[in-house]
Amino acid sequence: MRFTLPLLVGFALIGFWEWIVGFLAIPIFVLPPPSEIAHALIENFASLMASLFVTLSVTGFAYFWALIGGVALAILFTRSRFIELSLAPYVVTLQVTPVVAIAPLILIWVGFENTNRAMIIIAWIVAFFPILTNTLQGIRSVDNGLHQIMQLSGAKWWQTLIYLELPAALPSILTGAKISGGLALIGAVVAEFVAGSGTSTGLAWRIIEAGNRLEIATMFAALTLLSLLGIVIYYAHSLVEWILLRRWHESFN
Amino acid sequence: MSLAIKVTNLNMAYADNIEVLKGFTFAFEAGSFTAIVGPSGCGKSSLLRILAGLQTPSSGDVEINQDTSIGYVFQEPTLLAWRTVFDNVALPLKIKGLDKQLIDTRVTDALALVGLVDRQLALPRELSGGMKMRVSLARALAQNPDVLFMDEPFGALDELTRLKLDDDLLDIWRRQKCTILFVTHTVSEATYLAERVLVMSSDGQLKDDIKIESDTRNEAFRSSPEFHATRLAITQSLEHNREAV
Repeated sequence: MRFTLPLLVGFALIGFWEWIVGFLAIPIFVLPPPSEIAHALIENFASLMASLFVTLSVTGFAYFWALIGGVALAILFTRSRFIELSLAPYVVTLQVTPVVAIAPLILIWVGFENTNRAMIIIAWIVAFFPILTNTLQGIRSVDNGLHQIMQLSGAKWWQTLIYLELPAALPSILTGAKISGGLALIGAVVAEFVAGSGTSTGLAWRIIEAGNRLEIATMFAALTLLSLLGIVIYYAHSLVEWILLRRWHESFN
Repeated sequence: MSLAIKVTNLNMAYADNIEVLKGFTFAFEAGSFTAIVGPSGCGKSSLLRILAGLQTPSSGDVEINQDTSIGYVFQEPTLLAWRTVFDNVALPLKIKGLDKQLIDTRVTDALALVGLVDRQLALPRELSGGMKMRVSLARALAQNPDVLFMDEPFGALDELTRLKLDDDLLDIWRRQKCTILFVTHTVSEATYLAERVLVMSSDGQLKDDIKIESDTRNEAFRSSPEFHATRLAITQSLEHNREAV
């Protein structure tokens, strides 16, 4: 039921789409039928896969550094009130400033010969914050009694971190990572839009390019791949959560 | 008898001027079992925390040998949900840097004392409340404590489980010969377990020190005149404070 129901709905929608486009004679450059989209996907398969790989690698690197940076900064913040007070306002500023507005600056600073790096930085800015806040919240909500057990055992700060705080915060970190995974993809798409033509050949750029040429079916094909990428990222996180938490965490009962 | 802990004129006041301990003075003999009863907020828990070094008193002296090894059992089991029973008990020893073989022996011995050897690979969520408390007790015992602090350890358990754990604790105490400081709300539990019961008043002063002469602890003791007389004495000393009885 869990899988068949959504699949049935999906097939019904695609069938209706195919039918209504033919029935109302909607022009192909307004809304192509699913069969045309599938056709465009197969026809441009190699180049679309190459674009998928570009977007995926920007998303992946941005996500990886967001994970490392977010957890590391959260650890730093919880070790030192001084560092937190000094840095927190700037982290928030970076987060609340719309990334589309900073993106052109980043491109100029990093240099147009390094578009890839600039795109990773842009996506990283978007993805970083949820990991930081969720990790902070996770570490701060560790039960006081457990802290006292560590204190009575004479634990050093790093022992408390490894044995208590990080495992206890793991569910929160994974929640942050799940949000960040999706945001890194959004960040990569925004970055491609901003970076423009030439060096960038990711899926988002293919959408703009195909749109300019009125190849709406190819546009939809690229969009489909982007959605699929997002879905894979989301469920990969759910799988990791299931593997790491299912035995002990209350959310898996 | 040698002394385990000597406390002189201990005072504890929190930031908002709430005094929980006032001039507390007492000497705990090594190997003794002392219960501490008193109304909520009288400083029983603060006293344990200060003696264990978890908290600094406002003033006063605590003399405790530097090498004294300490075990602590809280009201909650305070187990790490992602570690097995064995790994929970082993954690303090691992932190202290003991070698693996010694840890294995100590943990297995401690689990045997609380009767949980066959559940050592279970995770806390798979255990009942009483079992979790036993794990918590085993974790304290694995450190071969000279002094065992217990802060209302069985307070959240049902009556039958608590009576069973009380008996097991007495067995362990006789075998391990450690000093036990046991904070409880329950007068009958204090009477049954301890050699001495310290009664504290609501303003944090030591009000009474009641000795229990009998050595035997069993069902017969529970129905003996001594048990009832002591229980009554403690209850009266608590001024019929409803929270404590």
